[in-house]
Amino acid sequence: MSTSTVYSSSINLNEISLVEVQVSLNNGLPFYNIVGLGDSAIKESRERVKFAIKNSGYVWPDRRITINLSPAWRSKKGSSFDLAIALGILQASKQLPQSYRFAAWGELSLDGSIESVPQALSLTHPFLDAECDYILVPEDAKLILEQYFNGLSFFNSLSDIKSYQFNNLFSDSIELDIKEDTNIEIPDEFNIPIDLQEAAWRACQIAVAGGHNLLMLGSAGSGKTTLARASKYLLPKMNEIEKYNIALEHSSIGLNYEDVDRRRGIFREPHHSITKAAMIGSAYKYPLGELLLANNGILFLDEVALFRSEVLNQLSKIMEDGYIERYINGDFISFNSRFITIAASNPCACGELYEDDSKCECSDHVIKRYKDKFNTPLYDRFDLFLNVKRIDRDGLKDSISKFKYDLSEYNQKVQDARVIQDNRYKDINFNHKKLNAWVDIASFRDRLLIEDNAFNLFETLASNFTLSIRAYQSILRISRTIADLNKHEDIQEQDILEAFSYRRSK
Amino acid sequence: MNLDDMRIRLGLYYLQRKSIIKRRELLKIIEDTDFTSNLNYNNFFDKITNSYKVLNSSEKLMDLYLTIYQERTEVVQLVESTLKTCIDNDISISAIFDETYPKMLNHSADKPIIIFHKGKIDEFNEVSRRHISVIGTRKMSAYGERFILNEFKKLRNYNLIVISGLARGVDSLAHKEALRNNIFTVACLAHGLNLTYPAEHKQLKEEIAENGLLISEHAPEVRAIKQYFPARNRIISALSEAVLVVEAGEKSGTLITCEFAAMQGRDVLAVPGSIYAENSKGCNKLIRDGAILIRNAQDIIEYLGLIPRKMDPFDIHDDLDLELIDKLSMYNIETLKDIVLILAQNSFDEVELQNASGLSSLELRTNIVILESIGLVSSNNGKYFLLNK
Repeated sequence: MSTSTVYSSSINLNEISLVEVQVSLNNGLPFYNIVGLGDSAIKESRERVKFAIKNSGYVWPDRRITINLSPAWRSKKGSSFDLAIALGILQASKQLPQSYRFAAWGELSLDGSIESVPQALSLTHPFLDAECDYILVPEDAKLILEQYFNGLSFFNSLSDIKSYQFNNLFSDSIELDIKEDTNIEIPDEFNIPIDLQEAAWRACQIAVAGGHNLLMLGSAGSGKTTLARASKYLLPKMNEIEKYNIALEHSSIGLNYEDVDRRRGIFREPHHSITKAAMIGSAYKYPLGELLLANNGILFLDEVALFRSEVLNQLSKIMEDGYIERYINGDFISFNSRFITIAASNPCACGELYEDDSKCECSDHVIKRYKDKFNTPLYDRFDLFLNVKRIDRDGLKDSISKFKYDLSEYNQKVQDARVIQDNRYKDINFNHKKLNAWVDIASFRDRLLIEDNAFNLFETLASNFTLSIRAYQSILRISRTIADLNKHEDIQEQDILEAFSYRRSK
Repeated sequence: MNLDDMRIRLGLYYLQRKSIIKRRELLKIIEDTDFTSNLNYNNFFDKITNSYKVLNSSEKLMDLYLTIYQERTEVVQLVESTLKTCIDNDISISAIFDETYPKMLNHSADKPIIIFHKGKIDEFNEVSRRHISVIGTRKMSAYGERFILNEFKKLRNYNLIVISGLARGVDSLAHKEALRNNIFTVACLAHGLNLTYPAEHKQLKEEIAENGLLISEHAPEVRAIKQYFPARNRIISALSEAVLVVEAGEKSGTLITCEFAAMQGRDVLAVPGSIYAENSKGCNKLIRDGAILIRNAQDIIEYLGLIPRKMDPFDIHDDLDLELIDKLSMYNIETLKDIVLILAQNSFDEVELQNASGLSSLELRTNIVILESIGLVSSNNGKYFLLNK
């Protein structure tokens, strides 16, 4: 029989799927053709495959070679099909045993060596469901893949395959075996007294504990960015499956996910020059946008006033909805995208407005224009507002000893609060983390425990400050989170008062 | 003040305004006659003529009889209509012999015999009060605005009275900031108190009438003419111990006020600026000519020797919603008072307040929420300050 089938996989937008590489050798003039919506890299594979086979001691069959990538309607791209095509040709020409079903991905060099590609993890993922005997993947990718899978065969080159004895009829099939991260210590750069900015750090904890959005306005150098980045270490430790899914997502767009620090929690920090397409995703260049990557994690917008307004407009809708809906190549696609937004900005163009009177050199007009940027619908979606001032170094000396350096202790507090929330909302159907800010308002109100006098206080304050309905709800939700952090079963007066202290002032 | 007393004062006003009696002579008549004791308005014109008799020859006396006879009905009519306007609009009248007439003004040579005023004249006349007028160009730059915005809030805690002219620019901002910072403010108008010029300051004028004082030497319905503005300036300078010029061009009405001030023996204070800034040329010129250079609120405080006023924070706000505080069992009113007393000195940011009060960040924030909710404290650019109701 001069046909053969080898499994490989392809990534299309956010879908990772198994692809059958079918090879047929027929009589006729020597000819080579690939069908199945491949891109230029796939068309060019002919030269790589041909010479890799020749240079590895195999014979190139001088026949009419037709290769079909099935399903043929799905477009495919990249150089990862090289190995599967080569294996197919070798099997069809009986240079490799035809009795085994292979699954493989990898790029071939002209000398026959097998190279890895950045999407290693997600290309291997579909093989979990494939019925095959051997899974051949590049040796280069061993480090990454061994963290997640058992039962892979690693090869350096086609000649290694030639010398390999395929005789194991009972080879173990591939299975998921996610190894634990050995080193998840908090990096040294965060061994700082983070709670020097006591109020701001507290706001970060509330934001992460309850899923609220936080906006920090403050002078340059007041520590906004450090606070936001340290918030990542407040996120819950991910379980193995979560970690795997995140790794898969990252790998499918070629992002390196091997940095241990990255695996502590989802923290996306797009630069303010980001385009709308990169933010919410687009068909061609950005299959997953930043917002999708930030799902269930933290999205940090540094210098939020400098982002393009079209980006921020998109953001405000998605912050509200919790999902992204768009048409890609005519297909309607909906993604979950719920994240904690932490935004930071200077209060004026020079960033010195909150410092001593003489420092800011912006005219009132400039200050007003800068402030007007925060009067857009996006900023209604923020729940916690905070002014951060630079810390006075001199005033610090005598008080520095009372601050804690221990991020893991704060992490524990936040996790406790999250567990409380999880128990509270355990009976509702919700496909995100069940956090106070994220569950729907009806479920939230149903399970709201609040002391009578605290509720009276809340109503009084709400009318004194003339809150909008949105602000009313968000402060109530924040109060609940603060009570959870304080381990109060019922919301108490002090929780309410603290929640109000983070409201947006005019 | 009963109606007849008001009529007498209006009568004096119109005798002068209609040029029936010359100002100098009227002053002498006032000196000789005791208008303060209950005088019958029916005898008013007779009494005037009697006093006038002493001063003048019989020839002139005949003239006066004649004019008073001719114009009396008109004056009486004017008095009655103006009296009605004054009562309807809550406008009071003071003559130079009245207790309510500002002492500082009385000491100047070119004082108006009658002034119309609306607002808290008693507070204005309190002995402990210190008066300063703040004047400057109508086309204020950000520099002047910044000076007023930054420095006025540091004067909030002193027995200061800020006088100005309700004009555009420096004047109106001085009024606004004074109101905002709980500083008593006085607007001297160049027209009657029932009119507003410029019209956009209507709201501001009403606020001043409510919390401060409006003064004019003209009857309520008198329209301003060009000459009234310099004349108004002489009242501004006369009312004050010192005149502070925030920004002034080289040729401006502000400098006329300063000339009046010099003549009246008032000090001139000036905020310096760049020698190239059009708006500071007048100020710099004043400084060269001997005006006192003012860099900040502290300079004013030192120059006038201002003493901070003592106050119970909750007393100054009669209409506070203290019910809320009563409801809060867990909150200590003393802590709240402490914070207010600290804020009474100056505006502070959170860290400064924390250090001054010894409270933790969280305690401070929750206490501030209470104070904000009852409208006692507000924040701007990260700094908290006491608010005026």
